[in-house]
Amino acid sequence: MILGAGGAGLCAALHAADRSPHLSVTVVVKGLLGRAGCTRMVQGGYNAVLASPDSLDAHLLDTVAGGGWINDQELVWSLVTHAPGRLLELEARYGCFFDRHPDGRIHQKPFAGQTHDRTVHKGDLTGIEIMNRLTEQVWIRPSLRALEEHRAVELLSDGAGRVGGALVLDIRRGTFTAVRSRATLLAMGGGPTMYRVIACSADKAADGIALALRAGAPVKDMEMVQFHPTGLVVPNSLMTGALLEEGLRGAGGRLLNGKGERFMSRYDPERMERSTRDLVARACFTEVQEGLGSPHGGVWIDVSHLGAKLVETNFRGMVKRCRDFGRDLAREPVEVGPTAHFMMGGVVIDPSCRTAVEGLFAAGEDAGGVHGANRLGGNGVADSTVFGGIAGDVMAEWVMGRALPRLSTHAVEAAEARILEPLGRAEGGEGLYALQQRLRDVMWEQVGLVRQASGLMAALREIEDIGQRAPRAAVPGGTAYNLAWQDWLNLQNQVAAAWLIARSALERQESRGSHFRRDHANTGAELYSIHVVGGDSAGLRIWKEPTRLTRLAPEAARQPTCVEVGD
Amino acid sequence: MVLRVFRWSPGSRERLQKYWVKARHGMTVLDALVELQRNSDATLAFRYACRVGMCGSCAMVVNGRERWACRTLLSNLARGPVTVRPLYQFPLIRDLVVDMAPMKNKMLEMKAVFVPGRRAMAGDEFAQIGSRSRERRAIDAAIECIGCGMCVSACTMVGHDPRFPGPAALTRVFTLQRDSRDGAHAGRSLAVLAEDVLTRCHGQANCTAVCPMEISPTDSILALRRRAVLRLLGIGPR
Ligand SMILES: Cc1cc2nc3c(=O)[nH]c(=O)nc-3n(C[C@H](O)[C@H](O)[C@H](O)COP(=O)(O)OP(=O)(O)OC[C@H]3O[C@@H](n4cnc5c(N)ncnc54)[C@H](O)[C@@H]3O)c2cc1C
Ligand code: SF4
Repeated sequence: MILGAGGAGLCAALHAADRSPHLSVTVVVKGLLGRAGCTRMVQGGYNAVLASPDSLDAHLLDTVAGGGWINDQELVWSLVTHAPGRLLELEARYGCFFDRHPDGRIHQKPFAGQTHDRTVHKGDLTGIEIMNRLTEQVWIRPSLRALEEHRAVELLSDGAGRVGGALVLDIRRGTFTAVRSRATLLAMGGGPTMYRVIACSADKAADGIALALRAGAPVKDMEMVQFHPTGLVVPNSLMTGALLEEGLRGAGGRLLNGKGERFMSRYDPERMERSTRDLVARACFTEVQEGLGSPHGGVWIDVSHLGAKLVETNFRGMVKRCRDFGRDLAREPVEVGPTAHFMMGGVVIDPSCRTAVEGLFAAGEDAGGVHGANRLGGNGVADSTVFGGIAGDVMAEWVMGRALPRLSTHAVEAAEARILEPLGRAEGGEGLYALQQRLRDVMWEQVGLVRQASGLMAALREIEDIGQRAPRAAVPGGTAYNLAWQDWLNLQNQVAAAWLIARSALERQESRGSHFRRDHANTGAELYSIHVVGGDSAGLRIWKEPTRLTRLAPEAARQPTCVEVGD
Repeated sequence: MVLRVFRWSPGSRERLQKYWVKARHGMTVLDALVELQRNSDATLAFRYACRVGMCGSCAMVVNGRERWACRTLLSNLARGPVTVRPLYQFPLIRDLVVDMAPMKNKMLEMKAVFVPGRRAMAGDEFAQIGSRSRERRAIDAAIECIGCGMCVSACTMVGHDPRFPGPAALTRVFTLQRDSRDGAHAGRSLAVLAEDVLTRCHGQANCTAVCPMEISPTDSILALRRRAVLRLLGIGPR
């Protein structure tokens, strides 16, 4: 069974089906098949080493240096060695198109933080192409069954500490099914939707992380959340946070604060707007926090001096995106601000995508370790398709000769009862959406781009309070296609992941990659990841796990700094 | 402002329910629906995911025209009440949510899925089709479909003849028939020659008018027709 259907879920399904066509594979997806999640939203592209002078070693080094040296280097090595093959597979077996030079060679563009032109793309809508083609292939494979608009609500144990399936809720009908399965993959794509401003798909709610935690699988690097500096600011609209691509700054775009100052001169006078993504995102955030923001709590990006014609030809998609909201990117400044983009942290896996719990596998954004403290642009979709495929192959082999587990009816009934509880309950107390807003606000203010111990401790208290109240919130209406009920479930998982982020951020008393502590602004010498395991908060265990430098060690000259990363 | 929203659930009658929403600057149709659902009527059902115009989940009929709710500003609509109803031609699930399965089924009937050709299956080399080649340019103009179903909803022939595959499926067939890497051209050519397929399109171009990705399914259908005629005359591509 595959939970989630982004790049990771669909590649896993295809690989499992092609490896063992007699297996029956169920794909569970919260939205429509191939349409929900973030792989679809990939604009920039896919990193793969295809031609010299680029090399696998260079891709490894760039990824690890970008990740602040705390990546799991064996996972990175899997990523870089499998990516070229997976890309070929996407094209040759599934029919994806990528952009090419006139002579037919595949086009690779430079992406920030990388030493070679490595990023393969299809215009600026690479994700749509990949997801459309993968989805078609899933449809035509008879051994694959997709449960659309079904969500995994809980992993189910077989009574002997193994995961034996999942409790699945049919969103349309509001009915439950306990699906038994010999191997279960978490591919629900993490998702930092517990922040006020987000770039990722709104259907995600860190469900995979919360499910894994409750099932007793360790997670790591949860404090590492990537923020992109230029999300659109559209007051009163969910569009807020949608990306304006990094290339605008690369081309010479200027960032101005509410007073019209090029504020980057105070943060990085040399590189100005072309400074690293982390620094720019943090600078924007700081300007706004200090009351120097634009009217709607952002800053301005101005590319008008580049000439309207140039902007309109080179950034067509961005111009269209702004025009829909009545803004003329080519001729006037547009309000932007930092936006929560990607979770580097996730479930601890080995290079075969196995978690510490038998029967449970994880791949893509749900898994941690590949990207360390920061992800390079173009490594995200490579990660999900590479590890999704590996998981599919491994699981197809792994189930051979294993019996279908039995599930305890008691556990199933208890979970169903807990989930049905808020329906029809008398209103009163704090509402669901008020609680969600509180969570998003505190995460943004205290656990976002700039953190410090006092704020993190206050945030933990606030998150715990929200966590106590959330299950008691009332949900009007019935079980069928009830958005409020779905959000009630989302909120609890968001709270669980938010707690992990804040708690891990408190534990890491240094700044590294995407994690910046005002009270510990330096990067320490020690390399480690923060791991957390535990079923409920009472039994949580948290520890530092030293990074194993299995392939590369940071050269003395090369300070572990954050590098610029693409989309 | 007044929002009139189509409501239906199994066992009840279809109706338009009237709501008042405080229209604020920058609000889209999707924002208005989310605000309603969160603050006034929690039972209202609609579908969205990415909320930025990439997933094609929030297509609906706004003031009589197919639109993507997430990218449609209220201020760009005509003054007066806004009426929102689900896409036409698709079975209803609840309120604004429809079942998109028929579109997928049509694609499968038309074999609108890539089948690796012999060269591709050898699997050790990338195909070499330059982005500026005629093949790629023709395909590029038609490939960025987000599967929203707006063209199907707007197509009068889909409503008239349930066997007509509809603009989205035929557009995908077109990109595959132009794709030299694909190994199933012959079978698809037969599929599109069946009755109720190519000949059924009357070229009204409603599909093209509503497609949010600026694709012209009408052009794809015309191109498929041209190919079919040439093939029948024995002078065209297979
Ligand atoms: C705007 C944007 C642009 C990006 N651009 C790039 C780029 O240019 N290059 C790059 O490499 N990376 C990029 N990324 C990152 C990239 O999208 C991710 O790294 C990657 O796609 C994650 O894939 P995934 O399969 O793990 O998850 P996703 O693709 O997010 O899929 C998650 C799936 O799980 C489903 N799901 C969630 N919860 C449940 C549940 N409870 N039950 C059932 N199903 C569930 C979802 O519906 C969805 O189908 C971008 C991300 C964003 C948001
Ligand atoms: S062709 Fe256009 S209108 Fe039709 S489904 Fe695709 S994107 Fe939507």
